[in-house]
Amino acid sequence: MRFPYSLSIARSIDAGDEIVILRPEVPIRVFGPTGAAELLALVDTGSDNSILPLSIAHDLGIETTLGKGPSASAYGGQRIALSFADVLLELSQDEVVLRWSSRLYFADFPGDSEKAVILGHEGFLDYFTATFDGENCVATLEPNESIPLS
Amino acid sequence: MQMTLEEARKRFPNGPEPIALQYAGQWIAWNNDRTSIIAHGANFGKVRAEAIAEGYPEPLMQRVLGTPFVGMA
Repeated sequence: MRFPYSLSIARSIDAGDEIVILRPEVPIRVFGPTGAAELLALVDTGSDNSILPLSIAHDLGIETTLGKGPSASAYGGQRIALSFADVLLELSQDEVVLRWSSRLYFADFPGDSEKAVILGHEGFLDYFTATFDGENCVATLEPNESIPLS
Repeated sequence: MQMTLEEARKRFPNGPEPIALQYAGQWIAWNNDRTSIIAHGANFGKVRAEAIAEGYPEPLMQRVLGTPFVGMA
């Protein structure tokens, strides 16, 4: 399954110029008791877990449980309290449809802070062989034997 | 990966136009073939509901990061 990177305009860190940022974002469907939502999610090899904004869980009627363990650590040392739920996910392209249940984590981001949708190792990358073609800006995901297909 | 708009258009002449800066920090709802933005705003639920009301029962939702992203901080 091949996914071209998404393109968005942002301001560069160094000079503040308008630049195009290309990111490996893939469309994934998240199922909840009140419906399903299709999300463009960032594939992040640096994230141990898959993390979504809590607002998505609320919108889909997903009941989450606050984690009893330590908060997660973000870049810069900020601690993020996460809740979790086991959720049905779907990744599809053309005739291929992969559907599996996964533990997702949900962050209650304050205010207008960046609300990224992150697909990390647990729940997502563990189930794929992933290739990031930087020259052509294409992410390739091939499911491995461990994906617990529903 | 980062590049100028001119470089992006040259390297990906058949690719989509980059999402405009005006949507930075917002949720956007795409139409089915991801060629136009149906709704946008700060609230996930409201943007999704607006797109559904416009006749798109499962819009593709994207949170547009407004700055270079270096992990959730």
